[in-house]
Amino acid sequence: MNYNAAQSTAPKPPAAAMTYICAECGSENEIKPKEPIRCKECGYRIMYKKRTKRMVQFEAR
Amino acid sequence: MIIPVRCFSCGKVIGNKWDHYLALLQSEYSEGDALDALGLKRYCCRRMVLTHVDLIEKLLHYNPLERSLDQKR
Amino acid sequence: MVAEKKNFKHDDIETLRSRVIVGRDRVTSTAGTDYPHNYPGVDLAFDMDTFKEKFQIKINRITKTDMEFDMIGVDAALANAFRRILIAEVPTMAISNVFVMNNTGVVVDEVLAHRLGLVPILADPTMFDFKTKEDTPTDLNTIVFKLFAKCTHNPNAKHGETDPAKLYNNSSVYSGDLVWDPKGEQAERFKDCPIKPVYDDIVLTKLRPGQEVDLEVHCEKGLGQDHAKWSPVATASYRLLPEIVVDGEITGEDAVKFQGCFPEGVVDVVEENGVKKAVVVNPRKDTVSREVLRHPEFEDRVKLRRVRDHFIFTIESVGSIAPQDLFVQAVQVLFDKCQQVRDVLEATAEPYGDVQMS
Repeated sequence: MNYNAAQSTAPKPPAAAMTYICAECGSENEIKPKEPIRCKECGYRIMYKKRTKRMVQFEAR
Repeated sequence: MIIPVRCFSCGKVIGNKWDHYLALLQSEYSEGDALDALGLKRYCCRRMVLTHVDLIEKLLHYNPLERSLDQKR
Repeated sequence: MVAEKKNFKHDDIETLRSRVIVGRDRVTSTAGTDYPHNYPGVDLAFDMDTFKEKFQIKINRITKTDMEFDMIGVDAALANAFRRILIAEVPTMAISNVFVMNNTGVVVDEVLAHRLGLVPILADPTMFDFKTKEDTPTDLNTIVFKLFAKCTHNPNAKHGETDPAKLYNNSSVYSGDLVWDPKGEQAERFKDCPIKPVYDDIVLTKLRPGQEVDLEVHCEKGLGQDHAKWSPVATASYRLLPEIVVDGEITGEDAVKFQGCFPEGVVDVVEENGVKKAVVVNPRKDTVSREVLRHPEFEDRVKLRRVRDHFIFTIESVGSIAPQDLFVQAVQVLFDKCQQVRDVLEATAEPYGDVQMS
Protein backbone atom coordinates (compact mmCIF):
# COMPACT_ATOMS: atom_id res chain seq x y z
CA MET A 1 0.00 0.00 0.00
CA ASN A 2 1.55 3.27 -1.12
CA TYR A 3 0.44 5.29 1.82
CA ASN A 4 3.05 8.07 1.62
CA ALA A 5 2.46 8.83 -2.03
CA ALA A 6 -1.26 9.18 -1.47
CA GLN A 7 -0.60 11.61 1.32
CA SER A 8 1.79 13.83 -0.59
CA THR A 9 -0.04 14.07 -3.93
CA ALA A 10 -3.60 14.41 -2.69
CA PRO A 11 -4.63 18.03 -2.12
CA LYS A 12 -5.19 18.66 1.54
CA PRO A 13 -8.91 19.08 2.19
CA PRO A 14 -9.51 22.10 4.39
CA ALA A 15 -9.96 20.95 7.98
CA ALA A 16 -11.07 17.41 7.12
CA ALA A 17 -13.95 16.47 9.34
CA MET A 18 -13.86 12.88 10.58
CA THR A 19 -16.93 10.96 11.52
CA TYR A 20 -16.91 9.20 14.89
CA ILE A 21 -19.46 7.08 16.65
CA CYS A 22 -20.50 8.04 20.14
CA ALA A 23 -19.89 5.27 22.67
CA GLU A 24 -22.94 6.27 24.66
CA CYS A 25 -25.75 6.97 22.20
CA GLY A 26 -24.26 5.57 18.98
CA SER A 27 -24.95 8.66 16.91
CA GLU A 28 -22.47 9.78 14.26
CA ASN A 29 -20.51 12.94 14.99
CA GLU A 30 -18.40 14.99 12.64
CA ILE A 31 -15.44 16.33 14.56
CA LYS A 32 -12.85 18.65 13.02
CA PRO A 33 -9.27 18.98 14.25
CA LYS A 34 -8.92 20.93 17.52
CA GLU A 35 -12.63 20.69 18.16
CA PRO A 36 -13.58 19.31 21.57
CA ILE A 37 -14.28 15.60 21.56
CA ARG A 38 -17.85 15.64 22.65
CA CYS A 39 -21.02 14.10 21.32
CA LYS A 40 -23.45 16.67 19.94
CA GLU A 41 -26.41 14.53 20.93
CA CYS A 42 -25.63 13.52 24.47
CA GLY A 43 -22.43 15.21 25.52
CA TYR A 44 -20.55 11.98 26.05
CA ARG A 45 -16.79 12.23 25.62
CA ILE A 46 -15.83 8.74 24.41
CA MET A 47 -15.88 8.25 20.64
CA TYR A 48 -15.21 5.25 18.45
CA LYS A 49 -13.37 5.59 15.19
CA LYS A 50 -15.12 4.10 12.16
CA ARG A 51 -13.67 1.11 10.43
CA THR A 52 -11.49 1.77 7.38
CA LYS A 53 -13.24 1.68 4.01
CA ARG A 54 -10.14 0.14 2.47
CA MET A 55 -10.09 -3.54 1.58
CA VAL A 56 -7.98 -5.61 3.96
CA GLN A 57 -6.42 -8.89 2.85
CA PHE A 58 -5.96 -11.88 5.14
CA GLU A 59 -4.55 -15.34 4.72
CA ALA A 60 -7.15 -17.83 5.87
CA ARG A 61 -4.82 -19.72 8.26
CA MET B 1 -16.07 -17.83 21.84
CA ILE B 2 -18.04 -19.04 18.84
CA ILE B 3 -18.28 -22.76 18.09
CA PRO B 4 -15.10 -23.76 16.19
CA VAL B 5 -15.59 -24.82 12.58
CA ARG B 6 -13.63 -28.05 13.00
CA CYS B 7 -12.50 -30.40 15.74
CA PHE B 8 -9.03 -29.30 16.87
CA SER B 9 -7.67 -32.85 16.90
CA CYS B 10 -9.16 -34.71 13.97
CA GLY B 11 -10.60 -32.01 11.71
CA LYS B 12 -14.20 -33.19 11.62
CA VAL B 13 -16.64 -30.37 10.87
CA ILE B 14 -18.51 -29.46 14.05
CA GLY B 15 -19.38 -25.83 13.23
CA ASN B 16 -22.87 -26.87 12.12
CA LYS B 17 -23.65 -28.96 15.20
CA TRP B 18 -23.94 -26.47 18.06
CA ASP B 19 -27.49 -25.34 17.29
CA HIS B 20 -28.61 -28.95 16.89
CA TYR B 21 -26.92 -29.82 20.17
CA LEU B 22 -28.78 -27.06 22.01
CA ALA B 23 -32.05 -28.15 20.40
CA LEU B 24 -31.45 -31.75 21.50
CA LEU B 25 -30.68 -30.66 25.06
CA GLN B 26 -33.90 -28.61 25.03
CA SER B 27 -35.83 -31.71 24.04
CA GLU B 28 -34.53 -33.47 27.16
CA TYR B 29 -31.73 -35.51 25.65
CA SER B 30 -28.84 -36.20 28.00
CA GLU B 31 -25.50 -34.71 26.88
CA GLY B 32 -24.15 -38.12 25.92
CA ASP B 33 -27.22 -39.09 23.91
CA ALA B 34 -27.22 -35.73 22.16
CA LEU B 35 -23.59 -36.14 21.12
CA ASP B 36 -24.36 -39.65 19.85
CA ALA B 37 -27.33 -38.30 17.89
CA LEU B 38 -25.06 -35.69 16.28
CA GLY B 39 -22.74 -38.48 15.09
CA LEU B 40 -19.80 -37.44 17.24
CA LYS B 41 -18.18 -40.76 18.11
CA ARG B 42 -14.58 -39.84 18.91
CA TYR B 43 -13.88 -38.20 22.24
CA CYS B 44 -11.94 -35.39 20.57
CA CYS B 45 -15.02 -34.20 18.66
CA ARG B 46 -17.31 -34.85 21.62
CA ARG B 47 -15.30 -32.61 23.91
CA MET B 48 -15.42 -29.82 21.32
CA VAL B 49 -19.19 -29.58 21.62
CA LEU B 50 -19.61 -30.79 25.21
CA THR B 51 -17.20 -28.26 26.73
CA HIS B 52 -17.94 -25.33 24.46
CA VAL B 53 -19.07 -22.07 26.10
CA ASP B 54 -20.85 -19.85 23.59
CA LEU B 55 -19.43 -16.53 24.84
CA ILE B 56 -20.25 -14.71 21.60
CA GLU B 57 -23.85 -14.42 22.80
CA LYS B 58 -22.59 -12.21 25.65
CA LEU B 59 -20.41 -10.08 23.36
CA LEU B 60 -23.29 -9.52 20.95
CA HIS B 61 -24.98 -7.41 23.62
CA TYR B 62 -22.27 -4.79 23.20
CA ASN B 63 -23.35 -3.23 19.91
CA PRO B 64 -22.68 0.52 19.57
CA LEU B 65 -24.49 0.58 16.24
CA GLU B 66 -27.73 -0.69 17.68
CA ARG B 67 -28.04 2.18 20.13
CA SER B 68 -28.48 4.73 17.36
CA LEU B 69 -31.09 2.52 15.75
CA ASP B 70 -32.91 2.35 19.08
CA GLN B 71 -32.87 6.11 19.26
CA LYS B 72 -34.25 6.54 15.77
CA ARG B 73 -37.16 4.24 16.56
CA MET C 1 -1.74 -82.00 31.11
CA VAL C 2 1.38 -80.17 32.22
CA ALA C 3 3.01 -80.73 28.87
CA GLU C 4 -0.08 -79.47 27.09
CA LYS C 5 -0.07 -76.29 29.10
CA LYS C 6 3.58 -75.69 28.38
CA ASN C 7 2.84 -76.16 24.71
CA PHE C 8 0.15 -73.56 24.86
CA LYS C 9 2.51 -71.11 26.45
CA HIS C 10 5.08 -71.62 23.79
CA ASP C 11 4.68 -69.60 20.59
CA ASP C 12 5.97 -71.38 17.51
CA ILE C 13 7.96 -69.55 14.90
CA GLU C 14 5.02 -69.21 12.50
CA THR C 15 3.01 -67.42 15.20
CA LEU C 16 5.89 -65.08 15.93
CA ARG C 17 6.22 -64.34 12.21
CA SER C 18 2.57 -63.58 11.54
CA ARG C 19 1.20 -62.30 14.85
CA VAL C 20 1.80 -59.49 17.29
CA ILE C 21 1.72 -60.93 20.80
CA VAL C 22 -0.21 -58.88 23.34
CA GLY C 23 0.96 -59.67 26.87
CA ARG C 24 -0.37 -58.54 30.22
CA ASP C 25 2.16 -55.76 30.55
CA ARG C 26 3.91 -55.70 27.19
CA VAL C 27 3.48 -56.15 23.49
CA THR C 28 6.06 -58.36 21.82
CA SER C 29 6.88 -59.58 18.35
CA THR C 30 5.87 -56.23 16.95
CA ALA C 31 8.32 -55.92 14.06
CA GLY C 32 7.69 -57.70 10.79
CA THR C 33 10.33 -60.27 9.88
CA ASP C 34 9.19 -61.07 6.36
CA TYR C 35 12.39 -60.34 4.52
CA PRO C 36 15.04 -62.49 2.90
CA HIS C 37 17.59 -64.48 4.92
CA ASN C 38 15.48 -64.38 8.04
CA TYR C 39 14.10 -67.91 8.05
CA PRO C 40 16.32 -70.77 6.88
CA GLY C 41 15.10 -72.18 3.59
CA VAL C 42 12.33 -69.62 3.12
CA ASP C 43 12.77 -67.04 0.39
CA LEU C 44 10.80 -63.99 1.45
CA ALA C 45 11.98 -61.68 -1.31
CA PHE C 46 9.17 -59.56 -2.72
CA ASP C 47 7.44 -61.31 -5.53
CA MET C 48 4.59 -59.79 -7.49
CA ASP C 49 2.79 -63.09 -8.05
CA THR C 50 2.74 -64.15 -4.42
CA PHE C 51 1.72 -60.63 -3.45
CA LYS C 52 -1.18 -60.72 -5.89
CA GLU C 53 -2.21 -64.09 -4.52
CA LYS C 54 -2.14 -63.01 -0.89
CA PHE C 55 -3.34 -59.42 -1.15
CA GLN C 56 -7.01 -58.79 -0.46
CA ILE C 57 -9.27 -55.83 0.09
CA LYS C 58 -12.66 -56.45 1.66
CA ILE C 59 -15.02 -53.52 1.96
CA ASN C 60 -17.14 -53.74 5.10
CA ARG C 61 -19.04 -50.49 5.04
CA ILE C 62 -19.37 -47.44 2.79
CA THR C 63 -21.49 -44.40 3.49
CA LYS C 64 -21.28 -40.94 1.92
CA THR C 65 -18.44 -39.90 4.22
CA ASP C 66 -17.29 -43.05 6.03
CA MET C 67 -15.71 -46.24 4.88
CA GLU C 68 -14.22 -49.30 6.56
CA PHE C 69 -12.33 -51.98 4.73
CA ASP C 70 -9.89 -54.78 5.46
CA MET C 71 -6.53 -54.66 3.76
CA ILE C 72 -4.89 -58.07 4.05
CA GLY C 73 -1.42 -59.12 3.01
CA VAL C 74 0.59 -55.90 3.13
CA ASP C 75 3.37 -54.68 5.37
CA ALA C 76 2.71 -52.01 7.98
CA ALA C 77 5.03 -49.68 6.07
CA LEU C 78 2.72 -49.69 3.06
CA ALA C 79 -0.50 -49.45 5.07
CA ASN C 80 0.99 -46.54 7.00
CA ALA C 81 2.09 -44.85 3.78
CA PHE C 82 -1.52 -44.89 2.59
CA ARG C 83 -2.73 -43.52 5.90
CA ARG C 84 -0.23 -40.68 5.84
CA ILE C 85 -0.90 -39.85 2.20
CA LEU C 86 -4.63 -39.71 2.90
CA ILE C 87 -4.09 -37.22 5.69
CA ALA C 88 -1.41 -35.02 4.16
CA GLU C 89 -0.94 -35.51 0.44
CA VAL C 90 -4.26 -35.86 -1.34
CA PRO C 91 -5.11 -32.41 -2.74
CA THR C 92 -8.37 -30.57 -2.06
CA MET C 93 -9.67 -27.03 -2.54
CA ALA C 94 -9.87 -24.64 0.42
CA ILE C 95 -10.19 -20.92 1.01
CA SER C 96 -6.71 -19.43 1.22
CA ASN C 97 -7.20 -15.67 0.87
CA VAL C 98 -9.87 -13.44 2.32
CA PHE C 99 -10.43 -9.86 1.16
CA VAL C 100 -12.42 -7.99 3.77
CA MET C 101 -14.31 -4.97 2.49
CA ASN C 102 -16.27 -4.51 5.70
CA ASN C 103 -16.72 -6.43 8.92
CA THR C 104 -18.33 -4.64 11.82
CA GLY C 105 -19.31 -7.77 13.72
CA VAL C 106 -17.76 -8.90 16.99
CA VAL C 107 -15.71 -11.66 15.29
CA VAL C 108 -12.53 -9.92 14.21
CA ASP C 109 -11.21 -10.12 10.65
CA GLU C 110 -8.38 -12.60 11.19
CA VAL C 111 -10.54 -14.97 13.23
CA LEU C 112 -13.25 -14.80 10.58
CA ALA C 113 -10.66 -15.42 7.86
CA HIS C 114 -9.36 -18.44 9.76
CA ARG C 115 -12.88 -19.82 10.18
CA LEU C 116 -13.59 -19.35 6.48
CA GLY C 117 -10.41 -21.26 5.65
CA LEU C 118 -11.65 -24.32 7.52
CA VAL C 119 -14.94 -24.55 5.58
CA PRO C 120 -14.70 -27.57 3.26
CA ILE C 121 -15.41 -26.70 -0.38
CA LEU C 122 -17.26 -29.09 -2.69
CA ALA C 123 -15.15 -28.85 -5.83
CA ASP C 124 -13.25 -31.46 -7.77
CA PRO C 125 -9.56 -30.64 -7.15
CA THR C 126 -8.50 -32.60 -10.24
CA MET C 127 -10.13 -29.86 -12.33
CA PHE C 128 -7.74 -27.24 -10.94
CA ASP C 129 -4.02 -26.46 -11.00
CA PHE C 130 -1.83 -25.70 -8.01
CA LYS C 131 -1.24 -21.98 -7.64
CA THR C 132 2.25 -20.89 -6.63
CA LYS C 133 3.05 -17.59 -4.95
CA GLU C 134 4.13 -16.07 -8.28
CA ASP C 135 1.08 -17.24 -10.24
CA THR C 136 -1.70 -14.79 -10.86
CA PRO C 137 -5.18 -16.04 -10.04
CA THR C 138 -6.94 -17.52 -13.08
CA ASP C 139 -10.09 -19.57 -13.57
CA LEU C 140 -7.86 -22.67 -13.61
CA ASN C 141 -6.38 -22.22 -10.13
CA THR C 142 -8.79 -20.08 -8.12
CA ILE C 143 -12.42 -20.24 -7.05
CA VAL C 144 -14.06 -16.99 -5.93
CA PHE C 145 -16.86 -16.71 -3.41
CA LYS C 146 -18.57 -13.56 -2.22
CA LEU C 147 -20.13 -13.11 1.17
CA PHE C 148 -22.38 -10.23 2.07
CA ALA C 149 -24.67 -10.13 5.06
CA LYS C 150 -26.18 -7.23 6.94
CA CYS C 151 -28.14 -7.74 10.11
CA THR C 152 -31.41 -5.84 10.49
CA HIS C 153 -34.40 -5.86 12.80
CA ASN C 154 -37.16 -8.17 11.69
CA PRO C 155 -40.29 -5.97 11.43
CA ASN C 156 -42.51 -9.06 11.56
CA ALA C 157 -41.13 -10.30 14.88
CA LYS C 158 -43.69 -10.76 17.62
CA HIS C 159 -43.55 -8.40 20.56
CA GLY C 160 -41.47 -9.84 23.39
CA GLU C 161 -39.66 -12.30 21.11
CA THR C 162 -36.27 -13.31 22.54
CA ASP C 163 -34.91 -15.69 19.90
CA PRO C 164 -32.32 -13.69 17.89
CA ALA C 165 -33.04 -15.79 14.79
CA LYS C 166 -36.62 -14.51 14.74
CA LEU C 167 -35.98 -11.06 16.19
CA TYR C 168 -33.40 -10.12 13.54
CA ASN C 169 -32.64 -10.89 9.91
CA ASN C 170 -29.18 -12.39 9.29
CA SER C 171 -28.41 -12.80 13.00
CA SER C 172 -26.13 -15.71 12.04
CA VAL C 173 -24.02 -15.89 8.91
CA TYR C 174 -23.75 -19.44 7.56
CA SER C 175 -21.38 -21.08 5.10
CA GLY C 176 -24.41 -21.38 2.80
CA ASP C 177 -24.37 -17.58 2.44
CA LEU C 178 -21.13 -17.83 0.46
CA VAL C 179 -22.07 -17.13 -3.15
CA TRP C 180 -19.93 -18.69 -5.83
CA ASP C 181 -18.77 -16.16 -8.40
CA PRO C 182 -17.83 -18.18 -11.52
CA LYS C 183 -14.86 -16.74 -13.40
CA GLY C 184 -13.89 -17.35 -17.01
CA GLU C 185 -15.07 -20.74 -18.18
CA GLN C 186 -15.91 -22.01 -14.70
CA ALA C 187 -19.67 -21.60 -15.12
CA GLU C 188 -19.48 -23.79 -18.22
CA ARG C 189 -17.05 -26.35 -16.75
CA PHE C 190 -18.95 -26.86 -13.52
CA LYS C 191 -22.52 -26.52 -14.75
CA ASP C 192 -23.28 -30.11 -13.67
CA CYS C 193 -21.82 -29.74 -10.19
CA PRO C 194 -21.89 -26.11 -9.07
CA ILE C 195 -19.16 -25.26 -6.59
CA LYS C 196 -20.35 -24.67 -3.03
CA PRO C 197 -19.37 -25.37 0.56
CA VAL C 198 -19.91 -29.02 1.55
CA TYR C 199 -22.13 -27.96 4.45
CA ASP C 200 -24.51 -25.02 4.20
CA ASP C 201 -25.11 -24.65 7.93
CA ILE C 202 -21.68 -23.94 9.44
CA VAL C 203 -21.89 -20.80 11.58
CA LEU C 204 -19.25 -18.35 10.35
CA THR C 205 -20.09 -15.33 12.48
CA LYS C 206 -23.00 -13.81 14.35
CA LEU C 207 -24.29 -10.26 13.84
CA ARG C 208 -26.59 -7.79 15.52
CA PRO C 209 -28.63 -5.01 13.86
CA GLY C 210 -26.44 -2.51 12.03
CA GLN C 211 -23.46 -4.86 11.76
CA GLU C 212 -22.42 -6.27 8.43
CA VAL C 213 -19.82 -8.41 6.72
CA ASP C 214 -18.83 -7.89 3.13
CA LEU C 215 -15.96 -9.94 1.80
CA GLU C 216 -14.56 -11.92 -1.07
CA VAL C 217 -12.63 -15.18 -0.69
CA HIS C 218 -10.28 -17.01 -3.01
CA CYS C 219 -9.98 -20.82 -2.85
CA GLU C 220 -6.83 -22.58 -3.95
CA LYS C 221 -5.71 -26.16 -4.37
CA GLY C 222 -3.44 -27.40 -1.61
CA LEU C 223 -2.16 -30.34 0.44
CA GLY C 224 -2.82 -31.30 4.04
CA GLN C 225 0.90 -31.15 4.77
CA ASP C 226 0.73 -27.38 4.18
CA HIS C 227 -2.31 -26.75 6.37
CA ALA C 228 -4.92 -29.06 7.90
CA LYS C 229 -7.72 -27.23 6.06
CA TRP C 230 -6.56 -28.97 2.86
CA SER C 231 -6.70 -32.42 4.45
CA PRO C 232 -9.49 -34.39 2.75
CA VAL C 233 -10.08 -36.65 5.76
CA ALA C 234 -11.24 -36.11 9.30
CA THR C 235 -9.46 -39.34 10.23
CA ALA C 236 -7.76 -42.07 8.32
CA SER C 237 -6.63 -44.87 10.62
CA TYR C 238 -6.10 -48.58 10.85
CA ARG C 239 -5.88 -51.24 13.51
CA LEU C 240 -4.70 -54.82 13.33
CA LEU C 241 -7.26 -57.62 13.47
CA PRO C 242 -7.38 -58.96 17.05
CA GLU C 243 -7.18 -62.67 17.70
CA ILE C 244 -8.22 -64.47 20.89
CA VAL C 245 -6.92 -67.99 21.46
CA VAL C 246 -8.26 -70.03 24.38
CA ASP C 247 -6.61 -73.15 25.77
CA GLY C 248 -9.27 -75.81 26.30
CA GLU C 249 -12.72 -74.70 27.44
CA ILE C 250 -13.89 -72.08 29.86
CA THR C 251 -17.06 -73.29 31.56
CA GLY C 252 -19.46 -72.52 34.38
CA GLU C 253 -19.42 -69.15 36.13
CA ASP C 254 -15.95 -68.52 34.70
CA ALA C 255 -17.53 -68.38 31.25
CA VAL C 256 -19.75 -65.47 32.26
CA LYS C 257 -16.81 -63.70 33.86
CA PHE C 258 -14.77 -64.36 30.74
CA GLN C 259 -17.48 -62.84 28.59
CA GLY C 260 -17.50 -59.79 30.83
CA CYS C 261 -13.82 -59.19 30.13
CA PHE C 262 -14.55 -58.29 26.49
CA PRO C 263 -16.75 -55.73 24.75
CA GLU C 264 -20.24 -56.86 23.82
CA GLY C 265 -20.43 -59.36 20.99
CA VAL C 266 -16.89 -60.69 21.24
CA VAL C 267 -17.64 -63.71 23.41
CA ASP C 268 -20.89 -65.68 23.59
CA VAL C 269 -21.92 -67.92 26.47
CA VAL C 270 -23.68 -71.04 25.19
CA GLU C 271 -25.22 -73.81 27.27
CA GLU C 272 -24.28 -77.36 26.40
CA ASN C 273 -25.95 -80.15 28.44
CA GLY C 274 -26.68 -77.65 31.18
CA VAL C 275 -23.08 -76.39 31.33
CA LYS C 276 -22.24 -72.83 30.40
CA LYS C 277 -19.39 -72.49 27.94
CA ALA C 278 -17.61 -69.44 26.58
CA VAL C 279 -17.15 -69.23 22.81
CA VAL C 280 -15.17 -66.51 21.05
CA VAL C 281 -17.47 -65.43 18.21
CA ASN C 282 -16.19 -62.10 16.94
CA PRO C 283 -12.66 -61.10 17.97
CA ARG C 284 -12.83 -58.20 15.46
CA LYS C 285 -14.99 -56.28 17.92
CA ASP C 286 -12.40 -56.59 20.68
CA THR C 287 -10.63 -53.42 21.73
CA VAL C 288 -7.72 -55.50 23.11
CA SER C 289 -8.10 -53.89 26.50
CA ARG C 290 -6.29 -56.92 28.04
CA GLU C 291 -8.82 -57.05 30.86
CA VAL C 292 -8.79 -60.90 30.73
CA LEU C 293 -5.10 -61.00 31.47
CA ARG C 294 -5.65 -59.25 34.80
CA HIS C 295 -7.49 -62.29 36.15
CA PRO C 296 -5.19 -65.10 37.36
CA GLU C 297 -7.69 -67.82 36.40
CA PHE C 298 -7.53 -66.69 32.75
CA GLU C 299 -4.01 -65.35 32.48
CA ASP C 300 -2.40 -68.63 31.43
CA ARG C 301 -5.35 -69.92 29.44
CA VAL C 302 -5.90 -67.06 27.02
CA LYS C 303 -3.69 -65.51 24.39
CA LEU C 304 -4.34 -62.15 22.85
CA ARG C 305 -2.74 -61.55 19.49
CA ARG C 306 -3.10 -59.36 16.47
CA VAL C 307 -2.70 -60.46 12.87
CA ARG C 308 0.28 -58.51 11.63
CA ASP C 309 -0.75 -58.15 8.00
CA HIS C 310 -4.50 -57.69 8.45
CA PHE C 311 -5.34 -53.99 8.61
CA ILE C 312 -8.83 -52.78 9.45
CA PHE C 313 -8.73 -49.44 7.69
CA THR C 314 -11.19 -46.63 8.41
CA ILE C 315 -11.48 -43.48 6.31
CA GLU C 316 -13.72 -40.63 7.34
CA SER C 317 -13.91 -38.01 4.60
CA VAL C 318 -14.56 -34.37 5.38
CA GLY C 319 -17.13 -34.50 2.59
CA SER C 320 -15.55 -33.01 -0.52
CA ILE C 321 -14.34 -36.34 -1.93
CA ALA C 322 -16.05 -39.71 -1.42
CA PRO C 323 -13.96 -42.04 0.80
CA GLN C 324 -13.61 -44.78 -1.85
CA ASP C 325 -12.25 -42.20 -4.32
CA LEU C 326 -9.90 -40.86 -1.66
CA PHE C 327 -8.21 -44.22 -1.28
CA VAL C 328 -7.78 -44.58 -5.03
CA GLN C 329 -6.25 -41.10 -5.17
CA ALA C 330 -3.92 -41.97 -2.29
CA VAL C 331 -2.72 -45.05 -4.17
CA GLN C 332 -2.14 -42.87 -7.24
CA VAL C 333 -0.06 -40.43 -5.20
CA LEU C 334 2.16 -43.24 -3.95
CA PHE C 335 2.37 -44.65 -7.46
CA ASP C 336 3.50 -41.27 -8.84
CA LYS C 337 6.13 -40.97 -6.12
CA CYS C 338 7.52 -44.42 -6.96
CA GLN C 339 7.54 -43.53 -10.64
CA GLN C 340 9.51 -40.39 -9.89
CA VAL C 341 12.14 -42.24 -7.87
CA ARG C 342 12.37 -44.84 -10.60
CA ASP C 343 12.88 -42.24 -13.32
CA VAL C 344 15.63 -40.55 -11.35
CA LEU C 345 17.35 -43.85 -10.61
CA GLU C 346 17.21 -44.86 -14.24
CA ALA C 347 18.62 -41.52 -15.31
CA THR C 348 21.54 -41.75 -12.89
CA ALA C 349 22.25 -45.39 -13.72
CA GLU C 350 22.20 -44.93 -17.48
CA PRO C 351 25.81 -43.76 -18.02
CA TYR C 352 27.06 -46.90 -16.27
CA GLY C 353 24.75 -49.25 -18.11
CA ASP C 354 24.96 -51.89 -15.42
CA VAL C 355 21.62 -51.49 -13.68
CA GLN C 356 18.64 -53.43 -14.93
CA MET C 357 15.20 -52.42 -13.80
CA SER C 358 12.29 -54.43 -15.01
